[in-house]
Amino acid sequence: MKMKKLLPIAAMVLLASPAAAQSLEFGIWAGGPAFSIGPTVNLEVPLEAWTFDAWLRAYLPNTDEISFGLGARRSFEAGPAGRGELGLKGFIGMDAHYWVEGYGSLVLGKTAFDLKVGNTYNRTPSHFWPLQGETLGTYGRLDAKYRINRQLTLQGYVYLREGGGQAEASLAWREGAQTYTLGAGGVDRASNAYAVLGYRTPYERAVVAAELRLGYVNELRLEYADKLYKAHLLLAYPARAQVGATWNNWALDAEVDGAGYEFYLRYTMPLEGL
Amino acid sequence: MRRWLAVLLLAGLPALAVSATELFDQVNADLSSGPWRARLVGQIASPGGGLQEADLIIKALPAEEMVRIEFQKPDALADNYVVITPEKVYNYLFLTNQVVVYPRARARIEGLGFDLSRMSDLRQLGEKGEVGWGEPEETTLAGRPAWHVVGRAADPDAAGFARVEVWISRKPARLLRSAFYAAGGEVLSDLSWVEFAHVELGRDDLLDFPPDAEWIEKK
Repeated sequence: MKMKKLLPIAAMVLLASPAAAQSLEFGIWAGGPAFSIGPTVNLEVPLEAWTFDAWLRAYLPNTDEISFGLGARRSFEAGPAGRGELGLKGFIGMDAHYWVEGYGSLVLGKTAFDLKVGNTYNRTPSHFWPLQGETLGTYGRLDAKYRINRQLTLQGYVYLREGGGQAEASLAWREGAQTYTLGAGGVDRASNAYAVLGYRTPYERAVVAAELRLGYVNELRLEYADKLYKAHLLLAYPARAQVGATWNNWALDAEVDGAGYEFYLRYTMPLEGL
Repeated sequence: MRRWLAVLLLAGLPALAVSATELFDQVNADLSSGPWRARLVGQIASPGGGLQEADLIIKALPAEEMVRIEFQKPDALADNYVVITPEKVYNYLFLTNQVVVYPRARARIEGLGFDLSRMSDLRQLGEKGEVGWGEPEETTLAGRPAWHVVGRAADPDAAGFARVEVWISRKPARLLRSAFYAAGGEVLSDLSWVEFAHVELGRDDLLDFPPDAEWIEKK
């Protein structure tokens, strides 16, 4: 092929072709203190700009906690200028519990937004389990980022739920390849404040990042990523720990806190062409 | 003495005339000869009208048919980049640390008020009859001997521009500047190639993304 077809600004960014592809994720979940275990299945079907999901979560021995979920989302691509996504997902269980969530994200130029609004009814919330709401009742969370210039980015979020909420704002600045973050947040009221410190840097051919929250919220989050592996660790007080790793098509997460423990192992099988 | 006469004779001769097509072929031949890195600066129309600064770094690997375009300006696109391979296009968004991967079915640029892909192949624009190229004229640009070629679009509405001007250095034949204008004479894109060098580049240099980026594969 001749270089003319490559000429620089030649063919910048494309729009997706309508060819469909699928993936199937199998997972196994286990948790306690009263030991429970169950398989999960997630079928993902992209169709042009749309992606459809179907979830099944079994739950043993409490079969009435078996739940089914459906989701649909649509993406809007604008090449290097940005992208957007709108989606809705809902889960319903054998015991009539449900969880619905609508979400939208937009990154356009120097601004990014991420909004989630949902409602959970009669279902134990979980900070860990990705197929479950984090709180009972109605909730909403808005994350935003604004890039002041190439060095400085202002970022924050507001999270509102029945009976309370949380807000956080921080400033991230780049010095060479390093990024530093400094900010503050509060839970429920301004006096429940905490500070946020962050640092991210390349390390050999990987990236490592650390984030510390001190005050009303106390937690340390560490992240590592290279081309093959990603891992994160969260240590919080009151005592709570999360650890997770992804490699190839595998992912493993675990959490332990005062109420019990949870493990979640999953494998994503590409089904392209089927 | 005979040698000196020959030198004087050659120096006094006007530059041999070349056609626009021959010039564009020479430009393509140079760009295809090996990996290269270039920086383009200038102005480009913004989506809302008016002009915005553009500063792009282009890295190309002709043997692999790969190009990487890194945006320095406009500010709204700064630190985003696009990697084009024969099969896929990788679009990196700095603000959200995401890599969006598409099949290379169609290509276009968003966020700018002018479709830069119109610059992709000057020769082809002439072959398809979209642009009628005039004869190259000798000139100088920033003190360098250059060819100046003007093209006019047969159908400005279909082409997306009415007039295009390019400046190409004499030896080697390389693009120095290209400018596209609307029917009313407004600048759509005016970019100068301020740096160009054949450099050592590999596939991994172009397909280099932050390892912690989120990957979104579009089918």
